[in-house]
Amino acid sequence: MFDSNYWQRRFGRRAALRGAGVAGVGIAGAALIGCGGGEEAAPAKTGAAAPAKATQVAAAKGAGEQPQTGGTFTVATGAEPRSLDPHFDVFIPLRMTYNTLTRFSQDLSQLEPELAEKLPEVPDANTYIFKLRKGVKFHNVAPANGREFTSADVKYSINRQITDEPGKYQHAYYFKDKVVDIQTPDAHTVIFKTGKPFAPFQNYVASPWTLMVNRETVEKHGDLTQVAVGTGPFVFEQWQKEVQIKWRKNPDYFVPGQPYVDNVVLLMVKEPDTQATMYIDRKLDAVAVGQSQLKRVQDARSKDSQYQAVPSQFWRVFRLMPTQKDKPYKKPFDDVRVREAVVRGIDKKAGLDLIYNGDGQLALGPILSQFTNWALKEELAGFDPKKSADLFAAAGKPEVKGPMVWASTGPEPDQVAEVIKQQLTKIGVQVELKPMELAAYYNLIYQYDYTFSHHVPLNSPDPDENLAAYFGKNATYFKHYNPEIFDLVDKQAATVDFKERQKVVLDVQRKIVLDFPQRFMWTTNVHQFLDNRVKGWWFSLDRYENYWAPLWMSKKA
Amino acid sequence: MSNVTGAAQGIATGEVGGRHRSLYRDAFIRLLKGKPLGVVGLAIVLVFIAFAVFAPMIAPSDPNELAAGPRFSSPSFSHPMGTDNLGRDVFSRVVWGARISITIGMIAVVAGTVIALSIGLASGFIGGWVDSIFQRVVDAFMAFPGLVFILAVVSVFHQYKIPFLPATGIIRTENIVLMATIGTLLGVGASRVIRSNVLSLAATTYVDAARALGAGPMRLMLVHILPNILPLTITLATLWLGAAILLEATLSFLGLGVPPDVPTWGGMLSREARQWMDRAPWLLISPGIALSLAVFGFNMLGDALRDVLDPRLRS
Repeated sequence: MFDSNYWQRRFGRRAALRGAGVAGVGIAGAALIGCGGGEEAAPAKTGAAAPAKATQVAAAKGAGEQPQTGGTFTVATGAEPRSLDPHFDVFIPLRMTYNTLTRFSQDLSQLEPELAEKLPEVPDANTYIFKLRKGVKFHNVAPANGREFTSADVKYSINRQITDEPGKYQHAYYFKDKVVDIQTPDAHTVIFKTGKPFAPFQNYVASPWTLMVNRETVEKHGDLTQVAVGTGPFVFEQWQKEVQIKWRKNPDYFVPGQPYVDNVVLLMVKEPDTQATMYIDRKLDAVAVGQSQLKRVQDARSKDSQYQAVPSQFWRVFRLMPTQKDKPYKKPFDDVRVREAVVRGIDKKAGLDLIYNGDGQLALGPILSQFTNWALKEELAGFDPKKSADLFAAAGKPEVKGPMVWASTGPEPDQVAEVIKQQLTKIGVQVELKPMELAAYYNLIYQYDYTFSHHVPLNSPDPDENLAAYFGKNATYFKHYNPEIFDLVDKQAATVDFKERQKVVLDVQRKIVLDFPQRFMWTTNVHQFLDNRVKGWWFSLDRYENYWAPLWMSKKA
Repeated sequence: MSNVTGAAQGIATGEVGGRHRSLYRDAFIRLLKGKPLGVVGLAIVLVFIAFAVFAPMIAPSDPNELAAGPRFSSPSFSHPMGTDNLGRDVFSRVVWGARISITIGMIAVVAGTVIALSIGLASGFIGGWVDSIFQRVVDAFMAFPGLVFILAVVSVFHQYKIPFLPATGIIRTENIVLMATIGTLLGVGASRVIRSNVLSLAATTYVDAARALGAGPMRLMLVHILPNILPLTITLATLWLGAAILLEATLSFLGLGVPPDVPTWGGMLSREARQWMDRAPWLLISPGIALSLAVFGFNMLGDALRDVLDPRLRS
């Protein structure tokens, strides 16, 4: 039966939060939430969303019902993961296998302990002391064999992530050059020392990429590309490439009684249409779809589904060529007027309207508007073809051309390319379209050598992640060489006071937008459906609190 | 010598009862008089060729023009095949799609024909170890699934660029790779048919007579045998055209065809139609009908040509 109250509740909550974002289409099931597992602790604010309304809402939990055990939960993902390594840039739900020391609350506004007993003590601005839960065990599979999780594992996991190797662990910037010492005075205490105050530290510790891994497993297999052994609620069982990934229940999970379901299956289903059909045919228990599948799924399953529409944190940008100190802009892009002309030649509103029927939000800078505390409120680089023409004329009417690459994962990305090309053609920019297969595309862009691309980055709750990772001096996802911007990015990270940091974050965004390295385009709404039998779980806001342990399947149809 | 070569030429020129009328003109008249389906096929083919050649004049708007009309406009006088989700005129895209489909199909078929004739003639006429080597290669090739071959080649070469080719337009690297691959697939397979025909022609008395009069192997192949397998080749090529158009559409549907800014029938089916067929069925129907009609036309024409060009089927 259709649960109208539930719909109201979901939308009401969304309105209150003004949308905190969720995982994108194509990673349906990649990031999931629950009602939190285990002990409650005094929360710490993250600064990510509007905290005043940040009430915890248990997801799809079936009020008053006793959780039932057993069953298999099946979801689908649109993209084959490149690896199972949690420190690698993968977009599959690895929180099933692994845990973090702390985690984000459902609305991203607060931090909660997970493998830590409580949130860290902060005796001074550069010291964080974490006390670990006792009795937490790695999965009972070789070579971990169910041994206890200790502070040495924390130190190993954090150090593993810090690397100079380009493109290896894309979140190296979390702690590289920031954490100067990790001490482990006993098996259940970890002390982090930062070189100077580092505002994002606690958010980065809670990030879904700061998962705690098992040293013996890394040493046995060389890396974690094909294996996954952690402390999480589900034990990795099998990865059939292009088919599925399977997990089974971890009977030794540290929250008594959880997890409830026996198995979780993540099917590899590339086509959103096929995912929609599978949900309609009840072969999936949850699905996230876009505009083109929405009506079909609504018509077929609205009576026995829970539903919400939320802006995705996977969003769209148009990039000009990356630059580094020894690899500056090539002509004519070294002239900022040319870059501005190109950026102003792209009508992002028309693109959103045409391709997605206007179903989304326009972006004004590197931080999406759902992060209300940090996002720019003003449009600094509006669509203005006349100005583009004037700027080109002032720059000497250079020949502006080049190939544009993107990951051709479906009809929509291809149409984004077509629209951008048509719009740029009108201002005299010649774009050659070069669609690429996903893995080949990622391999190319991490070499930072292309003229144009349109890309789907992930926006995250801490502003540093949206700034340092793309525009900082140690940026990994994109490179834009501008020492002034580097300094401002560093300044916001070192500013602990919220108000002061907010000001610097807005300043650096203005600086970035007006240097015209990218056209910040839009984010689209994701339409999420969940079978009414599924309780204690909902698609996550992004990948930040995909808690699988409380998930259970009602036996009532 | 004149008698011998006259006999040989007789097959190719259709010299009957003292009338010297071209075999091809004769065949064309027979096609018009006795093969109505062939005529229909020819008419369809001519329409699509006209679409391809005169696309800029026939199409009411640029096929890539955004918002040429309202989004998802159903077929109407101003947009005979409706518009897609980007407001592009579907009829214009179908007309321009004919250009890429037929160009790729024709060039692929020409490439395939050259390959088929080269292998078939060399293998069938020279024989011996040359024949053995060619035929084992053909065996290996035919044992490999055609679509898998094309996918593998196109995937590997998709990222490369031939330096002297333009970056946009029909004659670009991606399209050349596509045409060469489809041509190779069709040509190698068809070389076996050519070879068996060459084998039977090589054993005829007129070839023996020409050889006795001093004609060398190249002259025998090119002057005495090749003209006599051309009718068969034309028939096969017409049928391959349909197959080549379908293969291009298949590859575009799979995302390995031409880039998305070049309108093709397969690309239209793969992108806007697949995405929005529920809401706007004309996005599926229009390129689908164009594709089916083109393949139908070439196949009907090919069947009719086979009937009128093959002396054994003339009765």
